[in-house]
Amino acid sequence: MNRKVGLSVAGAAVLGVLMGMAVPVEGARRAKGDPVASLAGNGEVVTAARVAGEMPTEPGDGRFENAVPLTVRLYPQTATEPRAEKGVVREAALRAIHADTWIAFLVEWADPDRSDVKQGTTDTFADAAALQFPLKYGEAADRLPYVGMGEPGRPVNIWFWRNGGGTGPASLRARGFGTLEPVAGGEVKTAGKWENGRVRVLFTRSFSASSPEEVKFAPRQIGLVPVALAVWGGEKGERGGLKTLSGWRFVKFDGGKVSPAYVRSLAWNPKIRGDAKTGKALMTRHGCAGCHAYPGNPIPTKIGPGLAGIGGIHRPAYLFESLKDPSAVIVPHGNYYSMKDGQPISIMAPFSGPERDAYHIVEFLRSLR
Amino acid sequence: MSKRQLAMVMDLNKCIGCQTCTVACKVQWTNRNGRDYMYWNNVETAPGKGYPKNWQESGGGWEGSVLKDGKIPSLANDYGMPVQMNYEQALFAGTDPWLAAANNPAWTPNWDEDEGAGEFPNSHHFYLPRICNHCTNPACLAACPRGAIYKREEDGIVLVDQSRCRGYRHCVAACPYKKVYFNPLFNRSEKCIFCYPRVEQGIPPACAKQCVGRIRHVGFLDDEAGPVHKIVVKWKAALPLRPDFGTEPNVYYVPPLSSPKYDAEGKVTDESRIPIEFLEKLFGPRVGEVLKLLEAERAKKGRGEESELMDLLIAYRQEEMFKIR
Ligand code: SF4
Ligand code: SF4
Repeated sequence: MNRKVGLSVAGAAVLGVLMGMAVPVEGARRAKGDPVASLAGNGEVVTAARVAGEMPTEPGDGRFENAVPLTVRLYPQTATEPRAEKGVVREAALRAIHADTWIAFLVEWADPDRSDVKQGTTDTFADAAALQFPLKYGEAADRLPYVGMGEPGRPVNIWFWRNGGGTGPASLRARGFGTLEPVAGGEVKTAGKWENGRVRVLFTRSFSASSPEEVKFAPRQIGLVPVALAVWGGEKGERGGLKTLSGWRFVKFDGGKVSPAYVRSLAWNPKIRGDAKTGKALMTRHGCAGCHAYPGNPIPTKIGPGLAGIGGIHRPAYLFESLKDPSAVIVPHGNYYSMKDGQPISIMAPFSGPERDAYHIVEFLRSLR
Repeated sequence: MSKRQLAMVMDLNKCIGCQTCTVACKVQWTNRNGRDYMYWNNVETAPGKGYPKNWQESGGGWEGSVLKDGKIPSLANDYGMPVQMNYEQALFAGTDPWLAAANNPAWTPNWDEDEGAGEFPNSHHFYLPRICNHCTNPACLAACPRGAIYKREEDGIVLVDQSRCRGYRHCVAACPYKKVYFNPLFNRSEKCIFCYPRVEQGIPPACAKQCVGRIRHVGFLDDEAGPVHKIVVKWKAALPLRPDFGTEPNVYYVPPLSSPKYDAEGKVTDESRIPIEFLEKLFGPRVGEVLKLLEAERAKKGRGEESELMDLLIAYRQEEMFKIR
């Protein structure tokens, strides 16, 4: 089913401009020397600066000044119901620092309307933020989990902060939408602060995890860890699937080890160079427009996941796979699949058109961001 | 749809609005831990805005196979903040005015109790007790993206799995009866549990067992020997509330007969005081037919003839009102 996710609803005009832009092919920019240069060139890498001392306990910790922030774009969740049609927080800055035994993240975004947990109310929601990590990463993992909360067989560990607390443990695990569960004995700590119209949230943990359901860090073995972000604007009623999320980004440990093979496995090396404009026309010709909503598609359909923002959320290799083998990852929403021999089968037929067309379509989907 | 369905019949002709059911439920389940404002069972006055305020206009339910948008009621404005009284001062220190509310509520359950509608001498009202309907097609269940709400196979009771709920409240918005409540203390949704721990031991739900008016029958819909089957299926004398919401409720109401209207000269007419359109909106198009049936059976009984339906509704022996095994 789905794998296409949606993007910012920046509007058709802006998308038109975006679609006209040439999309860089990562393969073409692979540089010699720094193995992560290709990812970094795409704005996908945040470097965790090496610092000394104890784990930070508050978001104002001065050592974050040593870290270069990565601006992360966030897109409304439209893959499953309920869909966040607009999304409140569209951009956040991610910083990371680490010492010998711990890592700390700082997520920061502009939020003029702070919203925290208000006791004595039934109809208010609090601001929240989360980091997501694959449980398995590096060369041992065949590929990245589905970025929308993982998938069966590729679980994720989620670190969750909510303004005012009250949601139980900060460490959670998931294997797809709707499967979130607290990790027993998780040791993630969070602290948030709202100041001058900005929210800053600190997430910390030691490298080793006491639970097998929590992500582990071992920068001397694997110094590049996938991470994704989600933010909820509580004042607009965002909670659960009503949120904005990022695509996978990568934390690079200062002084960590990165294997070139691992980085290569994350790159997109299309056999044929697609063209977004051609891809857009093919979306109608191949019937995609009948089931997927996306900017420029006049059909108000919700049969399949929304595609607005999909280019910002998903990696092209994933988009290609979804097109060719829609049942490879199925978003757990009842309308998107049927069961066959006990296995979920996407209601979307595998793409059977010419190979060339698939690359054009992927190029168009990449432009939706 | 569950294999079997436990259901409740409430006879509105017998409800005296005493709130014994409300208190029974509250004492059993909701007088603590963030539930203080919740009335899993409430008795409201109809016509009226009810509890939570204007619940009938709060959205939710089904439009065909699509869930309709609904709103989440506000504690202060729609449910009503639990009123704090100055008992300490009033009873032990003595104040003037003697007993007063410490907060200034905007709404409470029963805010419009006994107001009803119509002009004297044709004013009218009746009491409408409401619990979760343990629907066959529950909108609350369908709205939960986490699958935290389930309907039990063995009796159709609809429950919120407290370990799965993360307080998103899509169920609160989706229930057209507004019978799922958010607990702000635990950040979870909660609702009437049809007293399943009692039911599992063969004891009727507290609200039904304690009812002094003997208005509530409890039994399986498919149990031909039980009172609910007899009243709902055999006699077709009870109807679900707001069937147009599409959730297929399993609480059934014996609709209220009405006093007659007076004309300008003060003479009794054959027109009923409660407008039939009002009852049709609440209980669907069959309500007129059911009211005629009730009148006919009541007349039989009045003439000293047999009426199984009247005997059932009179409920001579309380234990015969419940058959939950
Ligand atoms: S009455 Fe509301 S809460 Fe109860 S089962 Fe029906 S939809 Fe769900
Ligand atoms: S059945 Fe039990 S839980 Fe439900 S309203 Fe009655 S007393 Fe309360």
